[in-house]
Amino acid sequence: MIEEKKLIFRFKKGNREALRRIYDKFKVDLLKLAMVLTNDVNAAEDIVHDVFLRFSQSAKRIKLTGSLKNYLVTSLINQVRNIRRDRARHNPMHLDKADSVVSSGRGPLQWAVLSEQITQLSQALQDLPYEQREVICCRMEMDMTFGQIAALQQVSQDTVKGRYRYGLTKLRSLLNSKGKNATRR
Amino acid sequence: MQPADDIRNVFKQAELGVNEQADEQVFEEMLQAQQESLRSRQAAQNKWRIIMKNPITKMSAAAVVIVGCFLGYLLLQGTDSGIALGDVLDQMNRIKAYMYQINSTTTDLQTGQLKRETQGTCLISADYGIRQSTETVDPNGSNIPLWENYTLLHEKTTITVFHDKKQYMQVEFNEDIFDEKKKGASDPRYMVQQLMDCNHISLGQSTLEGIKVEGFQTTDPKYHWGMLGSLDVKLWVDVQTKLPVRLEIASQYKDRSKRHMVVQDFNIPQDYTSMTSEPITMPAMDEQSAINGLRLFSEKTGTYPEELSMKIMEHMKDLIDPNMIKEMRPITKNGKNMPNPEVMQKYLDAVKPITGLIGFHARLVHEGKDPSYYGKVVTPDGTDQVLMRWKVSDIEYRVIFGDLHTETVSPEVLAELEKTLPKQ
Repeated sequence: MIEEKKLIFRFKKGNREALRRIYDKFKVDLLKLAMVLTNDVNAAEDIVHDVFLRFSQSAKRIKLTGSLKNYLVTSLINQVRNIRRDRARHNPMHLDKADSVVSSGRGPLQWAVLSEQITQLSQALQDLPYEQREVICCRMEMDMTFGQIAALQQVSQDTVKGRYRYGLTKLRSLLNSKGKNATRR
Repeated sequence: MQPADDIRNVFKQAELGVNEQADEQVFEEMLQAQQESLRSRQAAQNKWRIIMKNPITKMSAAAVVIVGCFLGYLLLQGTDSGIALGDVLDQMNRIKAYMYQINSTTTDLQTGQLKRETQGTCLISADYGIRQSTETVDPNGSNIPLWENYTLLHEKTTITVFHDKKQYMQVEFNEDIFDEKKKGASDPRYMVQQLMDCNHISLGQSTLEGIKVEGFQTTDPKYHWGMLGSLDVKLWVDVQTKLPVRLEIASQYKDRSKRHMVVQDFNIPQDYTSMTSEPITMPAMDEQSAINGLRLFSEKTGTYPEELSMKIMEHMKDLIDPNMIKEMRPITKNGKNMPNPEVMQKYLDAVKPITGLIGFHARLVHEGKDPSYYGKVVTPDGTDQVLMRWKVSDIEYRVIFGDLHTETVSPEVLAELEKTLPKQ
């Protein structure tokens, strides 16, 4: 924790190495989180790119208190919610009902390189209500506590635990049924 | 709750890698953003100094952007201590525009927890109105915009923009209500006025942020029409300038919540003057202004500009009177002395045809009117050569020829005319 405080302090002073270390430490986790939340590799890249750019410009505002991971995750989740809200406004189709939009055409500068497992997991997660998906992903991918997720979702911890429980059950069943289908084929 | 190890494993196995090239590109962009952000911070800290390094660039920027940069110093008038609040109010009423910060925290008295922390910036112009923006601070210290409020004095209207909801609310007032509303706004002049109207005491002299200040305090519940509950208001005034340095309002609503508001970082420039002797009028940016600009350029250089962009400004020294450049030099030498308003006015008038030309072309591009410009190959002798053209309707194009006469032609005729142009 003290190490992280030092890192933030150096970042606030404009230290390039500190920015590099923060970037290297969080980029894959954030890309994964954005990917499993959106199931859209291009959107995930844009979101994480945006989160890091905003972070780079935040030296003045960011404080030494609080955790860097929480800061970045909160920023990412807000971005994901904004994108969902914007899409919902401009597209009458419910996002969770939409077909997978995982990009198949990867250009040479595609940032994220996806494994088959993450593609499958992202697809399965799309069948969960978004709030449940957020809880599961924050807990599983970012090791966040229920308290932290409750603060993020501005609901009680009991609600978060409920979402987690229902989400896990549904995800387990979805993954199992997909596994069975794959075996049958 | 069932163990979640199976799902955790699925997440662990769901790998994601990164493309190194793209990775470096993202990091470079981050670095750039960080450096730019730090530079702008630096610039903000040095806001009283404008250093103009490149004369032509800076003059060009002034011409095109029209709105120039202001230079001001806090010229503080020294007085002895022993301040009356009336003097403070008089001083404030002399100021046309100023800016300050408001920080506020609200605490729930039942739980002792911080309910809300906000910070805002308020910009007040006595002539035009008030702009106030407020942000809340999340637990990680990042700022989330809450709302922005614009009070337009002439229109007697307030507009509040809620960014998170992407909505705004516009309220129009009649004269009487508007005057009352102004008093309720976060205008420190009214805060001082109210302090004067209430029973208040002097707190004597102290030092605040290195400034010698004198304090005033009221706990009179009449403050702010008794709307704030029990309260403690402290105003600290610079004994030299008689201007506010900090205003603190601690208020408590029953036994439910307490609020602490600090108004500070007053930025009160007292010596702003207009850069120009008259308000600047924008050039028309129409066909005639384009012709005027082209004519000016060809008369001064014998050619037409190669392209209609800011690059024209590289020729500024050829376009305006060399004496004018000399007169403008105070702006360029050390950035501290601006040219006098008449010189600036003369300069802006001189370059107006050029700004009109660039503006007209940019407008055509923006409006999708299919403009083309052939300044690279057409000279002032090219009587029948198309120098510039744009679409006016599906069946007509407007053309400015090399000798600056104009015609409206059909697309077919235009195609024939353009065929005869030398290759660019």
